[in-house]
Formats: sequence, structure tokens, C-alpha cells
Amino acid sequence: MTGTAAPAPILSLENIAFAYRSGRPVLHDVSLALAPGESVGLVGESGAGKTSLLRVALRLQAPTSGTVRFDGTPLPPGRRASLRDYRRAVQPVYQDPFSSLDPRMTVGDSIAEPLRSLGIPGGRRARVAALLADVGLPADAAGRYPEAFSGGQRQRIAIARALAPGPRLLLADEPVSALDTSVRLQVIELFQRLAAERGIGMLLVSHDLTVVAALCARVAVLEGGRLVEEGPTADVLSRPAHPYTARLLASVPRLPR
Amino acid sequence: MTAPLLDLDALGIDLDDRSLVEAVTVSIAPGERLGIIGESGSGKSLTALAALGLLAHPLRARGSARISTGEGTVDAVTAPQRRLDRVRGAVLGAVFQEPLASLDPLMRVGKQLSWPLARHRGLRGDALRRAVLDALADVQLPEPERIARSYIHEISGGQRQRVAIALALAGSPRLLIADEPTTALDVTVQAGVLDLLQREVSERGMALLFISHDLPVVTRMTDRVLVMKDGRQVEVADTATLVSAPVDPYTQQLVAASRALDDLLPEGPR
Repeated sequence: MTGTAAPAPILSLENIAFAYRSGRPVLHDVSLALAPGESVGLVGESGAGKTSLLRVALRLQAPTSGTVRFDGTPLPPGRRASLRDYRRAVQPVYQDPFSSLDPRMTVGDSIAEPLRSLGIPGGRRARVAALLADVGLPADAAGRYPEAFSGGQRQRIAIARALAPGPRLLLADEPVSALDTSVRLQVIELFQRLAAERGIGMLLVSHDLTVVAALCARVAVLEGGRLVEEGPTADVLSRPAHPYTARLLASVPRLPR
Repeated sequence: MTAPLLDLDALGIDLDDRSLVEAVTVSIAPGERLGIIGESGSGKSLTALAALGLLAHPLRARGSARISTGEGTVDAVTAPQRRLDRVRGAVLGAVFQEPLASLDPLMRVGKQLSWPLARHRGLRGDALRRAVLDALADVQLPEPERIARSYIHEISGGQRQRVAIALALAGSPRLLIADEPTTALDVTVQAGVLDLLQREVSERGMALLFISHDLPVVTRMTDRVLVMKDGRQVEVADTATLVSAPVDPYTQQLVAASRALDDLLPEGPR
């Protein structure tokens, strides 16, 4: 961000604490806000609390304390109708495209599913065809089943489904970790295009600093349930301030020149 | 020229009438570190299992996978399991992606490790107990006494993989086969396990067959790399040459994609 006043955040997580029932706390006083169109990476190791924070943001879990605001308004405690606007605007993308798609549903039905469940009117067939084109898949993919597609193609299908309700923000949990190198690069390019052309923001949870560097202008580092460092990705990666961030960066295997 | 420790010659693997791996021909000299890189489904893990004589029915190998035992050679494609049992552990050690594959959840770590140490080194009693603790200390596990008393669900993923490595090294193998040994681990834990493998290989003068889908990891661990795609060997080259001047179009694409990802991070120590 430059010197202009920051726009109101689309999503803000304020002083979030979270503990699983009868467990020790996994998040301590975490605050993070995303401006419209902004992409923020949330990095850390397994057990650091990344996925828990994402579940709180997705309202799959209520925080033990703290507030989740959407467009400045605290999310209501309920689950259903009152969250409909939020569910339209904020869509999840998961790591494993093999388990996130129902094998018994055609690709077209899977992609149209959020339109149905969120009660979004309009012709679904044309909408699905447009979504498939958006993610670089042919229109005839709609009539086939997930088993007919490779891992990279399935992740494109999962992204098309997330795009169906016209979200402004994607909450993505390791969306390219299960993919082979060249496919990973292609899916990263797809996310880059969606951000550039439509201003779709992203909260990207990953243990992979490379992916965060590709997709996020800002990064937050989570260790032991606490945010230990946050800042512009380029700054954090070139001058990590926290020892944990430095260790994370030094651990990334590099390709020889 | 020393005889190779492992010599794969036109190794193929079939499932019923379908060929999954075709004509892999490569050898590993004593002390050499060879990588196999390929995407999921490329046949790299099947190749490793065939070299160990561990393909499960109905998978079948053809061609040959000759293992030099020091007293002769054994072909893992044709040798009876009885014969291969004496080779595995003592000549070939193996570490897999999921340490739980080689560890028993119901047996304390020390007990599991005492088995191969007793078998390969003929140790008993106090000497065996000491060897177990030494083996755990050797793979840089903290508090070897505590780890020896633990069940594997009581230790972390990185610690489990270190135990699996200690188990693989217990018979002092001349070749360690490591199949995606760090893929399931966090990046900082991965760095520690790769350091450990590197040190063990160089201190013991052991050869290494290192299998991974991750080119930066493979280049860090090996001298020479075999590239596999769709069950076929597409290129074998010195690691440095492979990265700087790949010949096969698929290798070129793999190196370019890995380079593009690597370039996203600032220059660091390499």
C-alpha cells in the first residue's frame, strides 16, 4: 500500500483466540485484515494454527473470543440465512481436489452447486460454461465426472466452483501443494489472472513460501498460534525480522544456478 | 571400474497386460548418489520397489535388477524372497515417505530397533541396549532413552522419520533407497532430515537412491539424476548438467517450471 488511506477491509479478524473443546488454545490474539482485492499469505508449519484461523474465517468454527467482521459488520452468530451474503462473497478452495469434489456428481453439477445452495437465480448451464472457460477447461467438461480429470484439472474445477457465486475473496488452504511442479505453476498463474482481471483477493494458507511470494503482496507468519511477523512479502522474504521466519526461509530447498 | 551395487537393466513392471514401467536401465556405483525424479504416476516408486524385490502381486517385474552383495549378485526380479530377505537390511536399506509404513505402532521404538541390530550385528543384552541408544543418537534424536521407551504415536513426524532412518541403517547397508523421505514433513523438519541423510551417506560411504518429485530437493541430495515420465526413462545426466542444460523436452519443461518457482524467492545461500 502507498500513502493513500487504506480502504475499509472486506474481512477483518480481530483479536481471535480459539481452542478446540477441552484442548489447549491453538490461536492467541490474532488480528489480520484484508482490504478488497488484497492477497495475504498466512504461513507457518503444521500445528501453527493456520488452518484453525481459516476455519474461523470461514465460520466453520466460532472463535473462543474475538470478532470476525465482513465489510465492517461483525458476523452474526447463526449459521444459515444470515450468512448468505458472506458465503457469496467469500469462498473456500481446499488442498486436495480429489476429496473436495463429489465423485458421483458431474463436474457441471458440482460447479453449479453453490448457485443452488445460495439461491442465486439465472441460467446455470451458460454460467457453468463461462466458469469452465474462466479456468481454462473446455465446455464439455461439464457432463463428465471428476475421475476423468487429472489433479491439476480437478483443482481448476474446484476453483470454478468457488468462483460460481461471484466471490470477492477466496480463502485457500494449500491450494497447490498436492500438485506436480509444472501444474502447480499453471494453477498459480490462474490465480494471478483472477486477481489481476477481477480484483479477487485471497487469504492463502500455505507452508510454501514460494507460492506466497507468487500470489501475495503481504504475508503474515504464524508460529505456535501467534502472529510473529507481518509485512510486505518482498520485505519479509529479503529481511525476515523474526528468527522463525528466517529459519523457514533458510529451509526452502533451492535450485542451483 | 568397480562393479555397480545396483544394476537395473531393461527393468519393466507390468500390471496384468498393462506396462507401467518400461526399460529402465541405470546403475549405481558404491558411494554414488543417484536421484530419480518424476511426477506422480511416473513409475519412480515402482522402480524402487522392484529394485528391493518388494512388488506386490499382481505387479510383476521383467528385465533385471542385479544387486551386488559382496559375495556375488542377486537379481531382485527373479530371486526368491528367502534370498532377498538376507539382502534387504544388510545390503539395501529403505526409507519411505510415510514412516508408519516401516514402523510398528504397538512396539516401543527401542524394541523395534533392537531387532535388526541383534540380527545383523549379533548383539545381545547390554551391548544391544547400548547399540539401540547409539543408533538413536546417531540420527540426532534428542533424549535417546526417552525415545527408545516411546511408542511412535508419542513422537513427532520428523522424529518418526529419524527412527525409520535408524532402522534402515541398522544393518549397515551399502545402498540406501529413500523414496520421498521428506515429502510429508514441514519444510524446516525436511531440512534437518536431508542434512542427516547427507551426513550418514557421506560418513558411511554409502550409496543413495533418492526418489522425489521435487527437483530442488533432488539436486541437493544427488550427483546424477534419472528423469522418468509415464513409466519411461527420459534422461539420465549429472545433476549439475541436468539443471543447467537439460536435453529432453520434458526435462526442459520440468527445470523451467522449477526455476520459475525458485526465482520467486530472493537470492539465498545455495
